[in-house]
Amino acid sequence: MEEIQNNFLEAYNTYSDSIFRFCLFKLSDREIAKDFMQDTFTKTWMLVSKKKVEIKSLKAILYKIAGNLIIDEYRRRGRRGLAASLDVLHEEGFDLYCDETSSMMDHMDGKKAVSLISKIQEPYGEAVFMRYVQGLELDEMAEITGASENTMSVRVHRGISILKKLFNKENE
Amino acid sequence: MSKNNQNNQIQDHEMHEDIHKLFSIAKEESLSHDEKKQGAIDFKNFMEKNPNRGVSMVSPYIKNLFISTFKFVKQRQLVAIALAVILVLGGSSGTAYAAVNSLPGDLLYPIKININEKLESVLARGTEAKARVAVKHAINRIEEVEKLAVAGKLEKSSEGSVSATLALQSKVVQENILKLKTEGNVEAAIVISSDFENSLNDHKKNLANLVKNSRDTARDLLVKTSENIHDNILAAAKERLILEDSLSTSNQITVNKKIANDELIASQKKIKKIEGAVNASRNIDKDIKDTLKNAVKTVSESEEKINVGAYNNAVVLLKDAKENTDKLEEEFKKSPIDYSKSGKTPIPTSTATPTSSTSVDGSSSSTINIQNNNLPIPVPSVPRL
Repeated sequence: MEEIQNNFLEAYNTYSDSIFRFCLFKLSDREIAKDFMQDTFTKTWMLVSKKKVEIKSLKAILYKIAGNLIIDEYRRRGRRGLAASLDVLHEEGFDLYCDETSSMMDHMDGKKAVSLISKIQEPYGEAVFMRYVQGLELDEMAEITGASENTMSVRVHRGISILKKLFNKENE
Repeated sequence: MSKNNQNNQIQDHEMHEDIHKLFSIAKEESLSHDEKKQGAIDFKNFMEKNPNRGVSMVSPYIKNLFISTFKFVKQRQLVAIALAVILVLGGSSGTAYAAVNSLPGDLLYPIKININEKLESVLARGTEAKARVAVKHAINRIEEVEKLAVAGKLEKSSEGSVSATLALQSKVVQENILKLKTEGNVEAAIVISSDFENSLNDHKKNLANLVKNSRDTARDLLVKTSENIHDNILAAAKERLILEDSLSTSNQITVNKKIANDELIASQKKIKKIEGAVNASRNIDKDIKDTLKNAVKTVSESEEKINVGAYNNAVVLLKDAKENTDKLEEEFKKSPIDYSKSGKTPIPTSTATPTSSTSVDGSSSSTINIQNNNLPIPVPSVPRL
């Protein structure tokens, strides 16, 4: 009994930051992301308590539950995610270069970086975020999203292409 | 190399340097130390209130309150009493909730200190949880001073009570840390001690800023509190260093134990193998038998040393036994000339001279210096292993 609690506490220490970052990526609000991260852990605990689910990969379940909570939130708000095209991105003032000598990266902080990646068209943004910010392997991403590893690989590749276009635009 | 790995490498290679930088910056976005700590405490409390029983989601405290009065353990009695006190004093749990943000001098402050926080301490299960709660309460006292200073309500008259409560809370923290150490949970003791130290350092900086902008009357008290915190930081750091040393020694003992046990198993296997070979042979030189007997005795002694925790001494004895068994093995590997028939040709044996030494694990006892006799090495008439 206590062992399960300890395992969950250990999981909390290990994954709370990445789940929080994932929620922030999806919701663009630090406080809400924090609440969603906490809800993710409590719901996972309840799931294990109530349904006695046998957990193979706690990480994958945490991401799935976080994803479900976020989808519910999108529904509640009556909108579909935060997907935006590159044009919308620029319209919103995401100019990547401030002047000729300093890049936007010099003025970037964690929140802005997460927010910038979240503006990449879905599902590519999510794939890029999972792969390169969260450090998930393709098979883990496939398990979380329900897509195949190949699909995830393609999504990551396209996401990177979009980001590259974004960064190269200045040089054109 | 798998196709996916190849894809990853191609993708990595194609990435713009700024994109790499973007990802690195994004990775830095995380919860603050305090947010994470508080979240973990909340989550732990949630798990305890919703135990993993697969049947009921009712809090075990409430359940027992009504069902099995006589089966109450002391802790749960306290919970029930505390709940009753809350109901009597506040009329509802709303009062207790409202008291959470109260400050010294407020009407609800005694409820916060005497009921809310005591209840939180009682509800914390296990020494680790209790130690964390104690740290939280100690930090609460400092935060209260900061809030009062910001609100301009800090009075010199409260100097004594501030120092006394902070000293008391710090003492509770240290007691819990010591208890954790006694229970053998040194790692948790280090983490909590270190967290306490870090939080105190943060608040010391806050107080330094407040001192700059405070009125004269409040400044003295803030300086005093800051000095008090500084003393606590030193005490916490000292305690942490002791704990770290203790953990290091404990790790060393664990390593020695493993080495000794591994050596013992290896020696026992080797002796069994040699015994098998000796038993299978008809004519065995007496010296070989004596050497084997010595090795068996030494291994047995080392086992006794392991049982009393003198791992280093055990390793020395096992080294001695190993030399004997290695020599025997070496003899068995040579061509089988029957020395038992060609007269007494003793095989070299080791004489053991006890000397004094002190082991890593702190115990002192005699160790063995090996002196080989300068005798010709015999080739016994025993079968190959």
